[in-house]
Amino acid sequence: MLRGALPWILALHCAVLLTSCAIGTQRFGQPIDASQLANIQIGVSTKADVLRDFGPPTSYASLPVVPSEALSALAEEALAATEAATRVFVYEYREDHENFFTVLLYTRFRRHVLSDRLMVFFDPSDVVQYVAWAKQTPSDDSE
Amino acid sequence: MKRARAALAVALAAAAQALSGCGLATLMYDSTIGPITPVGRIHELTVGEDIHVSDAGVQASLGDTPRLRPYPRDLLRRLASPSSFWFAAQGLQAFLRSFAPLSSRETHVGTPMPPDVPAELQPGAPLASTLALLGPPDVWLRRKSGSLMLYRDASKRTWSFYIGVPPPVTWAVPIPFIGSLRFRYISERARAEKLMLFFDPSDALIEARLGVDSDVDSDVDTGVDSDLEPEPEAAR
Repeated sequence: MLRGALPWILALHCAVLLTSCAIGTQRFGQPIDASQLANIQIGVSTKADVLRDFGPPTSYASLPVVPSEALSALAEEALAATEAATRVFVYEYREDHENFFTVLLYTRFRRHVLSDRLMVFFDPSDVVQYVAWAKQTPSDDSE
Repeated sequence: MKRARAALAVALAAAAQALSGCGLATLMYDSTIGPITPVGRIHELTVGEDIHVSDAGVQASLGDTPRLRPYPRDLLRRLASPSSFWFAAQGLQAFLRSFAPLSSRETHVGTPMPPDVPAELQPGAPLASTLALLGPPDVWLRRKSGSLMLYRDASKRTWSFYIGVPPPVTWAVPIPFIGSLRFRYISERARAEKLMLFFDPSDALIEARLGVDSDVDSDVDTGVDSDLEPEPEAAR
């Protein structure tokens, strides 16, 4: 009885040995503190306020310039100056969730990229013009 | 004879220690040429991360670490950092996937789009309220005639079938060109849901349109002596 089951037990043992899985989350950047968002007031808050509440941005971008007819007639330096005046602070926190599973002949790999992003647009006088915020990562409570 | 062997062993041990980022050799690297040497770059695991070159020469922020030390700085901490295991796991995954007879891979970037365009996005809606509602766009194109914003949720699924001698063991099979005798079939499906918003020159919403890219399939059959494989596409 036991002798007949031995090959099966060995096969099962080998199958278990040939099975593996890996689950991991890689995080990039610092989580964005959403509770501070209420402090940003459009038309009131300044660059300094945003820097104080959120720290240095992940990147510092500029909105594409839409030259008016009059501006197009000016020299390129004027265009460059206009571009420099339209700035965006970008804060980003990203999580890469990966899981990997292999059993005998089959391998499965899954990756889900989620990111929290905050963009703060400033007008030429460094006052907040627009705020855009999106949270995709799971909240701390659900982790 | 015995003395010569002992001398050789000591010399080898000294050389190994010199190369390991310990002792006098490291002291020399720290103080003179930093992590970049005439024979190439010394891995930061051995010499530490805080060594950089500036106009003033090699700068080392060693803190209270002794200049002459028995082992590389922060060795245990850096070996045990999560990123080390992460990269090891990635390497293992790539190795297993390279010859797994059946494999599937799924990549998803972002969160699913709402089934319908949000009711707040009516023509004339200002840009500020759109940004407040939807968050930062993935793409923002601005033109004289108006602007376009794009929000995107992308996914890609790949499955492959492989039969042949696994590449890592071809050297062990004493048959010429055995490594070239393989067959791989790859099916790839990319799909994206997009929300496109069109604004007029005064940044008022003209139209919001939700679209789903039709599935893009690409099947790749690879036969004998071929290992064509589509390049992995950037997730976004």
